[in-house]
Amino acid sequence: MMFTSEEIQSIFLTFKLSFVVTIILILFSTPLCIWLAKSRGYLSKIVNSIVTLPLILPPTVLGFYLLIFLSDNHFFNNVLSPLGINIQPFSFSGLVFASVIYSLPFAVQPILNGLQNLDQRYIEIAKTNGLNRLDRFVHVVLPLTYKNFLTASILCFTHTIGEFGVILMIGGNIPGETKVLSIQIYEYVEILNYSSANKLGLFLIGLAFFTLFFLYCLQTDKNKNHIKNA
Amino acid sequence: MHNLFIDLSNSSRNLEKKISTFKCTINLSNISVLVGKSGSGKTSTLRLISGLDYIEDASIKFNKTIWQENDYFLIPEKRNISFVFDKVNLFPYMDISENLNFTHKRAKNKISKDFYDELLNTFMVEDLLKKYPNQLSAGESQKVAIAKAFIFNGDIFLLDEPLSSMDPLTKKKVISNIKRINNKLKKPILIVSHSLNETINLANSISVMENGSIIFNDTINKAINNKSFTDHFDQDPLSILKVEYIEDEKLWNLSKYQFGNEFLYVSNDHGNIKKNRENFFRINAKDVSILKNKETTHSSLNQFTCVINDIKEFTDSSNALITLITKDKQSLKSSLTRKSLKKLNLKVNDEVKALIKTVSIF
Repeated sequence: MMFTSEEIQSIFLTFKLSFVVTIILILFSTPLCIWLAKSRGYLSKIVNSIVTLPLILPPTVLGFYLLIFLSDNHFFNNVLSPLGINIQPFSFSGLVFASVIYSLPFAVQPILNGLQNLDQRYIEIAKTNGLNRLDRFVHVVLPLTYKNFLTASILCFTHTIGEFGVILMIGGNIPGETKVLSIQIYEYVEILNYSSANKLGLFLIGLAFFTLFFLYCLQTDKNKNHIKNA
Repeated sequence: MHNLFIDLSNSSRNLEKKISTFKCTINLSNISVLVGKSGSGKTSTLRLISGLDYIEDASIKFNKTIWQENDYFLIPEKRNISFVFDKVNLFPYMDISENLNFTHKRAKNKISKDFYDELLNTFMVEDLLKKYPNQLSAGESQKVAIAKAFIFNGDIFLLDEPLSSMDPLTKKKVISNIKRINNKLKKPILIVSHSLNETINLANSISVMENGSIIFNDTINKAINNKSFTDHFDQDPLSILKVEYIEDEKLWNLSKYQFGNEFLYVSNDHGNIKKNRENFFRINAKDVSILKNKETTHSSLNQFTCVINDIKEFTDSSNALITLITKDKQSLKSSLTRKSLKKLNLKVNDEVKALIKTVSIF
């Protein structure tokens, strides 16, 4: 199974996109989840619902509004451009922005789950040992929930690899800029090049299978390490 | 002398069910024990003192340091407390040695490496160092937890039932080690306990909790004569007598103890009775009978002149409970039938002889 240079470019672009999106999502979701796990008010329920919306909405709806938002929103770009960030539709940065929104629930849910199920007794032990907030996060929260963070990263990464609808709406089909694997496959099917579509399709199926397999191995491992209660 | 000041009198609106409005100063001389029935609020009180729980409008001071007052609240991380929880005290992802090292690294008043090693030896945790918390039995976890508290070496120790899962022999060793180490460190220790035996062996002073309030708080010598303390442990009334060990009478196989200017003999048949100078005896009220008049010939060796302080008749049962005061002002309870009470015609302030049939040593 050999890939053409165009295909390799698509594969590389897809992985680059997933990588960047995953990093941004973990960094953004962690403080968000800490807040969501703690607060009991209606505001957190509203925020949590908004964050979970992309799970339910058709990607076309999301893509359509993101397209309008990014093309029209001068305020948004005026604020970000001094920071060296310029988000435009039909560009890599636009894809990153859309993918972050689209994959947000896949980062938030596992992390939030871990933080909400965190045994508060360990936090209290840490407090009586004089650990401040940051120390507690590094030395107690992370060791107890790192699997949730790992799960979130893997889900974000693979979900971004498999993304199609939103990218089609907002990114178009620019080689090396926005033409990711899923778009490439779509293009092959449109021009009736079934064997190439099949090749890339099998590649994605294999990738998805091994990711899920790895995730389930991680989960059984979690049960084995179950903490004994006195 | 250290003390803890707790004032909840302004927080009536904000209290959770387990604790009620009380105001008290707990004098912490060496080791203080907090006793009370389950659900009386002992754990809640420790959590309140440590700052793990927050009650609005409460006022808490440790010696001169304000921990909570008005809007000021010192977070638990800054109170420098060696806290032992009743269940989990160790991080599950570190082995015992990592757990203890981590605590040592974080301690404000770091103990020396030599003392650290001594503590591991004292509390018999050396063989557990490479194990993980979930591989320990409950009793082993408690030994580690106590060692950890001393390694952290906080300004005050709050220990929530730290001995409850140990076997009697280990418990005895650990108790004497806690006392020994504490004589060296000189830190105030407040221990929650359910067991009379533990309490008597550990305490320099005692606080009693009932229905969410601290209702008694004084030295052990005062506590053993106070019914709010002695009534807490057993359904059947009992007294605790403080005695001094004098000598063994080898000929009769007896040990001789003194209180006031009277002597009490205890069989030495089992040999292994400890020979501290000061001892506490537990005497069940039904093992104390009463002799009136000047009659002195009786098989019992242990007869003491007492004055009746209080008589309580339980009209719905056959029993009456008499509280006697010994010559050295200790209180002694005697349980007898209402019929004998009538027959002997006992009244408050009568001088009588108390016969003690059995004692047990703490």
